[in-house]
Amino acid sequence: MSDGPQDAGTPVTADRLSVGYGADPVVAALDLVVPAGSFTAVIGPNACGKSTLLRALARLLAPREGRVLLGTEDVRDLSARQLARRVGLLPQSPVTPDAITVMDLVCRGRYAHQSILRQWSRADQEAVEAAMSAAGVTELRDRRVDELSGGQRQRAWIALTLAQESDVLLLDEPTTFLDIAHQVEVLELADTLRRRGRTVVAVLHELGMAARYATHLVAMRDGRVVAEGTPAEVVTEEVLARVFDLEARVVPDPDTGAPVVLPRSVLRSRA
Amino acid sequence: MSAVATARSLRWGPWSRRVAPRSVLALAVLALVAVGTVVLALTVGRGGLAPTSLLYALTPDASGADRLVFEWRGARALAAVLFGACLGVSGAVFQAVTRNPLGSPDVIGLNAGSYAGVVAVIALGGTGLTATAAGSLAGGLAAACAVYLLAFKQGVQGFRLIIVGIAVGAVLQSLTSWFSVRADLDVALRAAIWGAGTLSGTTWHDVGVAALAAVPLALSWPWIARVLPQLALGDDAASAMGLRLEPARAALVVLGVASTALVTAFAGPIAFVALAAPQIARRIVGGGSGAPGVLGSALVGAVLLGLGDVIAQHALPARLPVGAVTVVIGGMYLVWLLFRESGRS
Repeated sequence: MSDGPQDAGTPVTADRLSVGYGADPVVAALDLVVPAGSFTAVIGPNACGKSTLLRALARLLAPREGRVLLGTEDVRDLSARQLARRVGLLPQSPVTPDAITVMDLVCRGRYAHQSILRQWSRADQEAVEAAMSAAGVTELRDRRVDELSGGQRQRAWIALTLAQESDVLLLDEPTTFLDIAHQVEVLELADTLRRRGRTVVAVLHELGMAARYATHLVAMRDGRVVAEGTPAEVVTEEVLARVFDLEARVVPDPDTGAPVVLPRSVLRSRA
Repeated sequence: MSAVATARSLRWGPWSRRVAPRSVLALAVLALVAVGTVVLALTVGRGGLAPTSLLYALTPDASGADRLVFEWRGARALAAVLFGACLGVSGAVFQAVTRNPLGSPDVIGLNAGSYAGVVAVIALGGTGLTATAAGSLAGGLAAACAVYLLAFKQGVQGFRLIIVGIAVGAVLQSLTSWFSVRADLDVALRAAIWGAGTLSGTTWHDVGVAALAAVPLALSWPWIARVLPQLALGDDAASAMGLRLEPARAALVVLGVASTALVTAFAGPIAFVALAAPQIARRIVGGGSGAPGVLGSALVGAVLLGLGDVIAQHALPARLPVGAVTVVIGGMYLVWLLFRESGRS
């Protein structure tokens, strides 16, 4: 099987979703549709519930109310392994084992497809090769992950989630801590994956990058969706003021037409 | 480090594995060394079998003297290797669950729990293997629960678990001392001898029962080897890839405690082997925490305890319990490890 699944991809729907850790829900009664085959970027200020939302979509957190649908199926009706074959997640801070090579790391993405008996089938091998090739880490396969640059390491981890062969790929802040060239590297990969039919959802901080690469934007604040739509619809001076309390100018990119944010000042104290 | 990467694909019917030749070679050598420690235990020192009569001693027409030596030493040597393997795997499991090289059952108070359980059984007048084993398992599990609950704070974080484990271990040790002080001299003496961790007096019957008890544990090794590498990627990544995290972790803790408790029930608390075996195995075998790591930990544990017992019996002016030998070596190793860990962070 190739790295690119299946026709149109799978839509992900949050239906009246409430999730949280302590007393107050971090995400409250949230409705959201991630269009099938889109590259959806979730933006918003720190602690607005972006990562919580993503973790709930991957069923790492159980919703208090509401549900998450993959296509038309409730994720709670799937077994852990069934779910892992349909939704992949790159966590915010995954642990890279000591001295592991890129190839060994990517192989671990096959867990949900394997059993005690069958741990390296031809399908496993093909999926791992395809994932490394799609993520552009084939040449790095024998290198140790801890010796790679930040961008390369992130691509190795993305390769691991690709080896899972899921329709839906969730990336939690994949570009944080990367310099601008490495950010572009990772987002171009996400864009390529979207073009090949996967549904990609990423939490991003860099608005310009989100507007440039995503096909669909979701702006969140205080656990709620403030705006969603195309980058041109969401990255506006009015939405930036509501989501980030930021006064900014938004101008079109001279080459791509994507909105570019020019920050001016913070509107009020953000206690 | 590209030598690690020349892994081969092995497929036979539905069975398939990705195997690094280097790891297989290292495991084979370790297995030979483990057999070597048994041979050494049979032949070394005064009264040992002559190497030439080693195989002959197994046949019906062996001389009475040879057979006696074999009876005497063989059970003990096999017990050392078997118990070492159990401790090694237990260490690999707990170091993976805590994600810390210090997180072995002897450090996080589980040995102390098993020991306290057995002393409690002895103090209450219990005798015999079943009672001791039950006390050992119950004590180990109780200590594991206590450590887990005390360390729990929105999930369990490795280092806090270790600190809490050390504290729980200390409390249990003083509890055990208190038991011994309050008990009759006879009971206290039995508990003390047993508490030093010794293989002396191991009979063939003991080895047979222990081996039987170890069979279900060994059957779980393939599952352990499949789960540990996933766990090493962090909780979120592991469950996003299809591991049911909490049931898996609970099963690992039970299997790890059972392995330690098995050894403790027969030989008393033996420190260091569980702590060091997985780390040494990782350096010798390579290939991460999967099958090479689990098998390697078992084999290195077997070699460590096998050699430790030979040293305890033959290399020192006085015969010591093997637990004393492993504690001394383990103490030095622990200091080195602590230095390295603190240097890192």
